[in-house]
Amino acid sequence: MRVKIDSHPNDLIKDVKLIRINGVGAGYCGIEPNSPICFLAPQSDEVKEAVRAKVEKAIGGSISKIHEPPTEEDIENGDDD
Amino acid sequence: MAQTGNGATITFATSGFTANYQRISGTTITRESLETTHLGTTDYMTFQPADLADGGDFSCEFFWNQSASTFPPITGAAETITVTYPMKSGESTAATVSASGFLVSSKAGDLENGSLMSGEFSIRWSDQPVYTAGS
Repeated sequence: MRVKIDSHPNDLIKDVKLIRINGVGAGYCGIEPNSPICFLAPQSDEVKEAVRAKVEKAIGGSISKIHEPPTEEDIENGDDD
Repeated sequence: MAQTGNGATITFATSGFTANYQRISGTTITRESLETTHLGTTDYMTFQPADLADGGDFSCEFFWNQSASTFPPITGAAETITVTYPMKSGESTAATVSASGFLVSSKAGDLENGSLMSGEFSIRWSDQPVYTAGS
């Protein structure tokens, strides 16, 4: 799996980066420690950890949280995010 | 070829609010017109465009997750908001509309029989919403 941190599609936006997984846009992250990762769709734990590692290396610190849309299972099981 | 909105989503760069969206409305950008009609004008009123356009606002409807502890950021500061379009075949970067923006209203889901709970919020763009084509 290739994870790449790329510029936001809107060149005017400098404080948010596009996350690519295997070349395809999959989410966004900030440029400073303690900013979140926001995925466009739910991801596996493996993908989330790989992206977290890449982003934390890029921003030089920890992220605040990983956000992703809930799955049907999340809603039915009462996941709190 | 025209596409549906299936696969579109919206992300908030700071608050991180996320949900399963049913509808993300389009943005209406407006510009006022200044009337230039005078006593010598004939037949039709005349106008010129105002200096600035208004980025406008738009709304989103989403399935209300009663187990969630994260709510639409109605008290949050302006943040970078990105509406990501469905990705077309052959694209690796979806089209986006993005800018700084903030919520101006947030409504919880109605509770009734025979209908899934859905919430709604409205966003005001605080500067120019920029459309970037997919590639």
